[in-house]
Amino acid sequence: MDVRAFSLSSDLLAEALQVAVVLIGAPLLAGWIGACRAVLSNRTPAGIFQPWRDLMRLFRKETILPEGTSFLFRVVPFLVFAAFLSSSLFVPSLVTDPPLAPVADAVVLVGLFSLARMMMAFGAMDAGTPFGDLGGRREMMVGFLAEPATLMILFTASLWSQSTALPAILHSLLGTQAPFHPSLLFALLSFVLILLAENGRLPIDNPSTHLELTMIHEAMLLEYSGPLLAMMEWGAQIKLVLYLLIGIDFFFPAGLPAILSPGSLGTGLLVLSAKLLAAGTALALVETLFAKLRIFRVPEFTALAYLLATMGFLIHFVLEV
Amino acid sequence: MTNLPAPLDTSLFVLLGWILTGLLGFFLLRRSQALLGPLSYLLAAGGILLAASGIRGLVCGSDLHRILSGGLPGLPFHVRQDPLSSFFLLILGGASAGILLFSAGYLRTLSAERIPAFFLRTSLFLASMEGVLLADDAYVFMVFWEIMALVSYALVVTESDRDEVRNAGFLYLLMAHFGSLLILVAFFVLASDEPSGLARGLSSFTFESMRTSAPSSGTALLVFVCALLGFGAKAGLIPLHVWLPEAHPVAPSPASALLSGIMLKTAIYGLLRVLFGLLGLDHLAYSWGVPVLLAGGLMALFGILHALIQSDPKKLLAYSSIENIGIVFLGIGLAILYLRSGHPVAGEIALAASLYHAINHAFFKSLLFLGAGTMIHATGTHDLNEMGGLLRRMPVSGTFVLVGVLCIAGLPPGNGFVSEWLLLQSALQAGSLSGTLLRSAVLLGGALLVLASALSAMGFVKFYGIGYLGLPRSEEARSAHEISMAEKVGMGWLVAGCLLLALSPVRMLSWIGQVLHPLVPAPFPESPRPSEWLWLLPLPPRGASYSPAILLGLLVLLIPMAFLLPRLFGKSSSRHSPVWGCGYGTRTPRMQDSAGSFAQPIRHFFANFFLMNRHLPDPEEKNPVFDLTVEDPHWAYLYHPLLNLFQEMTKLAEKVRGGRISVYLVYSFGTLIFLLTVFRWM
Repeated sequence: MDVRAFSLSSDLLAEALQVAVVLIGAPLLAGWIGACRAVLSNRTPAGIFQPWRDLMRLFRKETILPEGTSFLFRVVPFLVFAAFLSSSLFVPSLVTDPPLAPVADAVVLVGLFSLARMMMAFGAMDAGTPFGDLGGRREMMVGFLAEPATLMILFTASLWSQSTALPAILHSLLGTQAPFHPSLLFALLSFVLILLAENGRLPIDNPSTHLELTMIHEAMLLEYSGPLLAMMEWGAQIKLVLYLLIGIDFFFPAGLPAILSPGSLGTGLLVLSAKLLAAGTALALVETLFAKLRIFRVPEFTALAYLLATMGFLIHFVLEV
Repeated sequence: MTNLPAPLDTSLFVLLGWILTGLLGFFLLRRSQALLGPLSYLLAAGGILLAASGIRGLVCGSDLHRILSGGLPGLPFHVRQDPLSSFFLLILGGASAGILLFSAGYLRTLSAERIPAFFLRTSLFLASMEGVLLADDAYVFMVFWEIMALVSYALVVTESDRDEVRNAGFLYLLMAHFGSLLILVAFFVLASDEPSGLARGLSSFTFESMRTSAPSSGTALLVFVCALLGFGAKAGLIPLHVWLPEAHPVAPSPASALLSGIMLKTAIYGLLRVLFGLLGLDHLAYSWGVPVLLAGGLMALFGILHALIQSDPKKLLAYSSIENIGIVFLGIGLAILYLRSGHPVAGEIALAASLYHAINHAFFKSLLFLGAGTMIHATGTHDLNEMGGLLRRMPVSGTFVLVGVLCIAGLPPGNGFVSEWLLLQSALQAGSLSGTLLRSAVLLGGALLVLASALSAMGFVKFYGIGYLGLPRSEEARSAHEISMAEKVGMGWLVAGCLLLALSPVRMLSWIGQVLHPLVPAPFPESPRPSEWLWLLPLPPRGASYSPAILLGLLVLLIPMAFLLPRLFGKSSSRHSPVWGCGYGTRTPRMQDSAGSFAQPIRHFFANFFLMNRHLPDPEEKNPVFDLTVEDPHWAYLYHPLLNLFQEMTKLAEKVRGGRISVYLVYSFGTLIFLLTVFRWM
C-alpha cells in the first residue's frame, strides 16, 4: 500500500469519526446542558442520556400529518437534517484538515445553515396554523440579522489567512504570535450573542417550553410528530454542536491535532469533549441567570451582534495592520 | 465547426427572423388563434439559436463586425459581436426561449383581440434588445434603444383599460426618455471630444472612433456621470427607480419576465460598454468605484426591504429586481475600485461576479415572474392574501417556483449563491487596498450585501410561504389548477438554466474570462486542480474553494440516508389528522399570517426606509377600521416636491399667455426687434 492511499483512507476514517462524534455527541451535549440546568435550579437531573431516550421513543412512534399539507412538509425534516449533517463534514473538529473541507468554505457553511432555516420555516408555514406561521416569521426575523452577523464574524477570523476556507483560518489562528487580538475579542462577544440567538437559547427563545406565546423554534415544530419530529430535534442539537465547534475553532483552537495518528485522535477527542462540556456548562449558566427578552427586543439583540462583528472587522484594519 | 455561419451572421439572422415572425404573426393571428403555439415556438427557436450563437462567440472568443448599408449619410449601420455582446446575447436568447415557450400556453388567457398586437410587440421588443446588443455605432444603438423603450411601453400598457396601467406606462415613458437623453449626451461628449472629432463628421459616432479617443479627466467624468444616470434610469438606480415597481408588474406576466429578467440587463450592458469598452479602463478613476459601490449596496438593501412589505407577488419581484441590479452595480463598483488601484485579480473577480449575477438574475427572475403569472392566473387576484395552499394544487409549477426561490435567496447550491460568493471573496480582499476610507467603503459594501442577502431569504419565505403553503385563503385558491404543458416546458427550461449555472460555475467563468479579456489587463487566474470543472477556486492556491456539484451530490446522498435512518429504529406508519386548535374548534385560513403581518418585524425595525400612514380607529367609531399604507419615501420627499415646483413654474408661464392675439403679436414683434438688435451688435 503506498503512502498516498494510506493517507486517503486514514483521512476518510478521520472524517467518518468526526461525523460520528457530532451525530452521537449532539444529543449527549443537549443532555449535559439539561442536567446542568437542572442542578443549577435545584432539580434532580434526568441524566445526559435523556435526549437519546427521547429520540428513540420518537423514532418508534407513528407519524401524524396535519390535514392539508403538501409533500414539502414531509421532506423538510430530512432536508434540514441532511444540511446539518453535511456541514459536520466541513467543520474541523478532530483534525485540522478534513478531506472534504475544500468543498465548502465558511460562507457556504452559513449558506447551508440558512438553507436549513428557510426549509424549516417552509415546513412550519405549510401546516397552515397560526403558531406555525408565527414561528416561521420569528425564525426569519432572528435570522435576517444573525446570519450577516455570523458572516461578519467569519470574515473577521478570516482576515489573518486572507481566505474563508475553514482549515486555512484555523492554521493562521493556530500559528499567530500575538496572544491577543482586539478584533477577535469583538468577534467573540458577537459570537456569543449569535450562538444564543441562532440556537434558540434563553434570552431569545426558551428551548424547554411548548405553548408559550413568545416561542420561536418550538412553534415551528408544533405540528411535527414521531420520526419527523425526531429528525428536527436531532438536527437542532447537531446545529448547536456545529456552532460550538466553529467557536472552538476560531477562539480556542489550542489542542487540535495537526497530524493524524490514533494517539493524537484520542487526545484530540478528549480535549474536544472537555471544551464542549465546558461550553455546555457555560451555556446552562447563562440560561439560568438571564430572563427572556421581549420579542420586539430581539432584533436589537441581533443588531448589536451585527454591529460588534462589523466593528471587529474594521478594528482589524485600524489597529492591527 | 468551420462550416457553420459566423456567430454574428447567426445573430443577424435571428434579428431579422424575429421581426418577420412578429409581422407574420400579427396578420395571421388576427384570423385565427390556432397558430399561436407554432408561432411562439418559432420565436423560441430564435432564442435558442441566439443563445447558441452567443455561446459560440464566447467559446471562440470571436470578435466580428460588419458594416451594413443604410443609415445616415456618412454613417452606415455598424454591427459587431464581440465577447461582451455574445455574453449578453446568451442571456437574451437563453432566458427569452423559456419565456416564449411559456407564453405559447399562457397567452391564451389574454383576450383574443389583444393577442396579435401583443405578439407583434413581444417580437419587436426582442429584436430591439438584440439590436442594442449588436450596435457598433451610437446611431444604431440609440435607434434600437428608443425602439426598445417605445415597444416596452406598449407592452406595459397592454391592459390599457385600467387606470393604474396607463399611469405606470406614462411614468415609465417619462423616465425612459430622461435616461435616453443622458445617454445621448454621453455619446455626444465622447464623439466630439478630440479636436478632430467634429471635423470627421458623423463617422466619429462609431464606437471604433470613440474607443480610440483620449478624453481628458473632466470629460471622462462627465461621460461617467451621464452613463451612470442614463443607464441607471433604465436599471432602477435609486432614486430613478420609481417607475420600475409600477411598470413591471402591470404588464402581462411573460412581458414582465422580459422586462425584469432581460431588459434590465441591456442597461447593465450599456453601462459596461460605455465605461469599459468606449471610455476604457485607463480613463476611469478608482475613486469613481466608491459611489457605484455604495449606490449598489443601498439599492440592494432598499430594494429588498420594499420587496418584503409588498402583498402583490409581481410587485415584490419588481422590487427584488432593484435589489439584484444593486448587487450587479456593487460588483461593478468594486471592479473599478480594485482594477484602478492595482489589484487586477480582485477586480476581475468582482466584474466576473457581477456578470455572473446578471445572467443568474435573468434566469431566476424570469422563472419567478412566470411563476407569479401562474399564481395570478390560477387565483384571479394580485393579492397574496387570497392565495395559499397552491403547492398542493399545482405541484409541478410549485416545485419549479421553489427552485427559483431557493436560487434567488442566494442559498447553496443554487446559482444566486455562486455570484454572491464570488462577490464576497472579492470584497474580502479589501485588506490589500491602501487607505482606511477605501477599505471601509468596500467592507461596508460587503456588509450591505450580506444583510440584503439574508433579508431576501426572509422576503422569499414570505412570497412562497404565503402564496404556495398553508391553507388556501380564498375559494379561487382552493380550486386552483395546474398549468398547461407548454407553460411547464417553458418554466422547466429556465429551471434547467438555473441548475446549469449553479453546478458548472467554472465553465461559465471561463466564458466570462473571454468577456473580460479585452476589457481588463491581466488574464483570469487558472484553477490548478486536475478535476478543475468541479472546483471554484478564484484565488489559488490558499484561497477559499467551493464545489457546488459535490455539495449537491452530498445533499442528494444524505437526504435518502436521513430518510432511511428512522427505519433503523423500528417500523413507522403515518396517517393524516386534523390539527389541534387549542380547544377552539375549527381553524380558518384567516388565522394564518397575512402578507402584511409577516413583514411586520421588518416595518418595525427598518421604519426609516418606509413612509407609513397609520389610521387607528377611534373608540367611539361605529365601524372601526384599522388602516395602514406604506409608501416609497422617494415619492413624498423627491418627486412630489419636484412635481409641485414644475407646476408652479407652469403657472408663472401661464401669466404670459393671455389668450389675446394682439398680445401675442406684440410678443413676436418684440422678439424680432430684440434679435435684430443682437445681430446688429454681433
